[in-house]
Amino acid sequence: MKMPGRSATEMIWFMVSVIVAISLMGVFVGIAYQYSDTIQQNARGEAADYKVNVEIINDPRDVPYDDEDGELTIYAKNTGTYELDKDQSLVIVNGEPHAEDELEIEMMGDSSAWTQGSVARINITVENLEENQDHRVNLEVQGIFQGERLGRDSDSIKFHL
Amino acid sequence: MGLSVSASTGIVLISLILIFGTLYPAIQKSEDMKNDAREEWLDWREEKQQAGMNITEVRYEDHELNITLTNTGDTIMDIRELEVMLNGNYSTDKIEDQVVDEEIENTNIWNPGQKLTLSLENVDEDINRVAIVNEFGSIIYHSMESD
Repeated sequence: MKMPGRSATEMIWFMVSVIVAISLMGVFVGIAYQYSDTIQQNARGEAADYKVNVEIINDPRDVPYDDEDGELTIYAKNTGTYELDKDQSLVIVNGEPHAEDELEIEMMGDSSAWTQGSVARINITVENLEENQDHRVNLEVQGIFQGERLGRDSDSIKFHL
Repeated sequence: MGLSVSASTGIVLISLILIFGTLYPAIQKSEDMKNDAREEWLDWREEKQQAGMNITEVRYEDHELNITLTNTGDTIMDIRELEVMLNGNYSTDKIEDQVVDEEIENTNIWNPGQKLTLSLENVDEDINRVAIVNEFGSIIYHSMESD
């Protein structure tokens, strides 16, 4: 009468340890899957950073500024491989960020999108930009690739009005 | 007792293999991806550094501006990708004519050592500054105040 009792405890021990091992390891495997996804996504972003390039091509001696409307004009050329996202551009004028509605982005020439080689004219409304002063403009852009937003780049220019 | 230990050890081992099998290819693939992109970028940087151009002459005549450039670097440049800024304003769309070495008109390739003449039309008289941008985003300037 001793044997069935012993094998029942053993059976319970066995089941408990297997269940614990499976659930623990299941969690670890799940984490590993997620982590590998993150690693690859980060790498894709980092690789895209190399392909997203923007260059401000303004002549620093003659940066167009309209004092009446307070409109500053920056020309930016896409010197990278990926198309740039116009809506995600950020312009920082003397430390103050301007984005979305404050920017008016128009493509130059016959291009409709900000693709490789094309130039965008960015009009920024900055009122009361002081004359006879040094100013600094920073431009930050994001690239688009197959519907995903990937890669970033920035460029800056210093000029005297 | 002995059976449950070996069973759980087996499960742990199999899971470790699964974890390693997931992480290792992911890390390897991403390293490859990054390296490829970096290599491509380094090539581009090298080309950019070797690229050079010079404004040899700027002539204004009756609303027409002729800019003569020389490719002084070691990179073949694309003429379509050149941008012209006159007095700080985008004026690439005013280019009417492009001639390489004074004879080749239907090309977009600008080889090292070759001369390129850009003819711009509808140009204002008071232009005193010309800036040329190449496909790498490098800019050269020319001032005409002395004229």
